[in-house]
Amino acid sequence: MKEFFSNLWQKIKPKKKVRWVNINGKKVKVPRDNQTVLTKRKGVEKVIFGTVCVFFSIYAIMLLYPLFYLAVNSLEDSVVYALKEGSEKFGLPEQLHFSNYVKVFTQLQFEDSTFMSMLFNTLFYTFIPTAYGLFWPTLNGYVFAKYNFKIKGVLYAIAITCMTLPIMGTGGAAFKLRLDLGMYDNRWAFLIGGTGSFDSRWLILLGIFKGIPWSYAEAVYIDGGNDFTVFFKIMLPQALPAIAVLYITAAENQWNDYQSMLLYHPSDLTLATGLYYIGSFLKRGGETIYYAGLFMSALPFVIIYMCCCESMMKNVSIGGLKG
Amino acid sequence: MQQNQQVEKEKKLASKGLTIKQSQLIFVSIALIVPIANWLVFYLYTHVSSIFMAFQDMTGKWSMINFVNFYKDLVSPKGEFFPALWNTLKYFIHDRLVLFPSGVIVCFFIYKKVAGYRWFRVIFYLPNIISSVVIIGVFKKLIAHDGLICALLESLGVEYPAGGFLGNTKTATDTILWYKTYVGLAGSFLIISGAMARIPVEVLESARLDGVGPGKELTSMIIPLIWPTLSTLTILAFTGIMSASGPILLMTGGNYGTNTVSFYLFKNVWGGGLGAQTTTNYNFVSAIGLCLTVVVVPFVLFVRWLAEKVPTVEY
Repeated sequence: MKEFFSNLWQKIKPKKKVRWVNINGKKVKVPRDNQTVLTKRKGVEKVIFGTVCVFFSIYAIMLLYPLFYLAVNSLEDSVVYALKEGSEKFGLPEQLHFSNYVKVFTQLQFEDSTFMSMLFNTLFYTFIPTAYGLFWPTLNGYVFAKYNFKIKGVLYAIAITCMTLPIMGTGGAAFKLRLDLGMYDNRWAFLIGGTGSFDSRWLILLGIFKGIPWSYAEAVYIDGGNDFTVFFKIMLPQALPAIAVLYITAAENQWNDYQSMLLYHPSDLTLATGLYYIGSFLKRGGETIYYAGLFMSALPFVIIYMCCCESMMKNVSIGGLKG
Repeated sequence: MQQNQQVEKEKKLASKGLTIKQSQLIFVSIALIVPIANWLVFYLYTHVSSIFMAFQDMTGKWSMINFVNFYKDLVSPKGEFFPALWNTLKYFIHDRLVLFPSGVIVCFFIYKKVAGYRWFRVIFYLPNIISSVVIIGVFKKLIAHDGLICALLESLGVEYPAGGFLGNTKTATDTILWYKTYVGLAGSFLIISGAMARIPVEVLESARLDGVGPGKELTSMIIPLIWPTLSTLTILAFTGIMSASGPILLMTGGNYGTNTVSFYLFKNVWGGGLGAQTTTNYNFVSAIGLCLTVVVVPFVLFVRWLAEKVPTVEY
C-alpha cells in the first residue's frame, strides 16, 4: 500500500526547478533547464499565461470543492450537521467522526438494498460485462485491420453509416425487445446486450491494430502457430495499453451510469442508482452517512485516473471519419 | 524468403488437415459471428421494429394514432414537445459555442505547459470520472436557499428566485446550463489533448522561431493540425443533436420546463421507475423518433459534407 501511494506521488508531484548533480564527490545544485522554445515566454505572453494559471487554479478549486465538501461533512456528527443552519453547513467539523464510514455499511440502505449489495452490483456490472463487451470489438477490430475477406468493405460501410446516422426514438423498441427476450431486469442478459459490435471502440481498436507490424505474426506462423496464437500471444499484448485505457473508460462510465440502470435493471441497485434513490428520500440527520457513501463511491476511479492519466492521454485518439 | 515462409506455414497447417484459407476463414468467422449477430438483433431489428411500431397502436393494430397524438401535442399551447425541443437546441448551442471552444482553449494552455498543468489535467477531467449523482448532490446544496452561491448572489444584490433556482420555470434550465458550464469547461479534454500531443513538435518549434505568437499558433497551426479530430467530434455532436441535454433526471426530473427531447423520450419509455404509475408508450416514442430522424438526417449529412470540405493536413 505504501509503495502504491509512493508511486502515485512520484507521478503527480510537481517537478523541481533544480536538480542535484554529483561533481567530484560533492553535490552541486544545477537549474533544471527543461524549457524548450515552445515553453519559453516573454513579456505579454508571460502575463497571459500567468492570468490563465490564476483562472485555472480558481476553476480547479471549484471542481475540487464537491469532493472537499463531501470529505469534510462525511466526518461531521449527524446530529450536529442536522442542527447547523445556512452557511454553517459549509464550515469544518469540530470533531472528526470516522465512524460514519463504518455506518455506511450498516445503516445506508434503500428498501432492501444495503450499501454492500449496491457495491457488489456495481462491481459486477462494472467489471464483468465491460470486459466481455470489450473483447468482441477488440477481436473484430483486429480482423478488420489485418484480414481481407469478401464482405469487409460492405460491413465497414454499414458500420460507419450506422455510427453517423442519427436514428432516434428507438428506445421504446429496444426496451420492448429486452422485455420480449426476458432480458429486462436480468443481470446475465446484460452480458449479451453489452457485446459491442461496430461502435467507436471498434473503430479505435481497428486503427491501433493497423499500426502494429505484421512481421511478428509471420514468425509465429513459421513456428507452427495459428491465427488464434497470433492474436492472443502477439497482437493482443501489443495493443494492451490502449485496450486498458478503453476498459478503464468503459468501466468508469458503467460505474457512474444511473439512467440505463434505472431503465433496464431497476431491481439491482448499483451505487449510482441506489445513492440517487437514497438522496431523493433523504431524511434530516442522515446526511453525513449519505455523504460518506457518496465520497466512497467517487474515490476508486479518481485514484485510478490519477495513476493512469498519462497513459490515457497517450492512447485515446479519434481521427477523421471517412465513409 | 516470403515464399519459403508461406510454404512452411502451409506445411504446418496441412499436417492439421487445414489450408491457410480455411484456417483464416474459421478465425474470421468466429471473430465476426457474435458482433454481427449482436448488430442484427440489437441494432437492425430494433431500428426496423421501431419504424413498424410507429405505425401501430399499443395493441399492435396498424394505426396512425401516434402521429395524430404527436401532431396534437405540437399544435397544443400546452404541448410538451416544443418546449423540450427549444431546450434541446439551447443545450446544443451551448455545447457547440461555449463548451467546445473552451475545451480547445483549455487543452491548448495545458499543452503549452501553463504552470501547474500536471495538476490541472487531472483535476479538469474529474467531472467525467465522478458520478453526476455525487456532483449534483453537492451542487444542489450550494444553490439551495441556505447555500454558498445563494449567499454570494444575495451579497451582490441578486434576488433568490421563488421556489429556488431549480424549482422555478424561469431559472431551472439556465441553472442546468450553468452547471454544465461548471463541469464541462474543459470539454472533450482527453480526446483533444491526445490529438494535440501527437502534433510534431518540430513544426511548432520552427513557427516559434519565426516569431509566431500563441494566438496565431492556436488558430493557424494547432487547430488545422488537429482538424480531423475536431471535425469528427463536430460530426458526432451534430449526429446527436437531438440527444443534447443535461442531467435532467437528477436536477428536476423534467419539471419546471426543463424537459429536453431525449429526456421526454426516456420518460415515455421509463415511466418513472420503482413503484411509479406513469404510463409508458413505446409506440409514441417510435413515432416521434421517426419524425425527428426524417428532419435531422439530411441536416447531419450536410454538416458531414461541409466538414469534409475543409482540407486536412497529413503528418
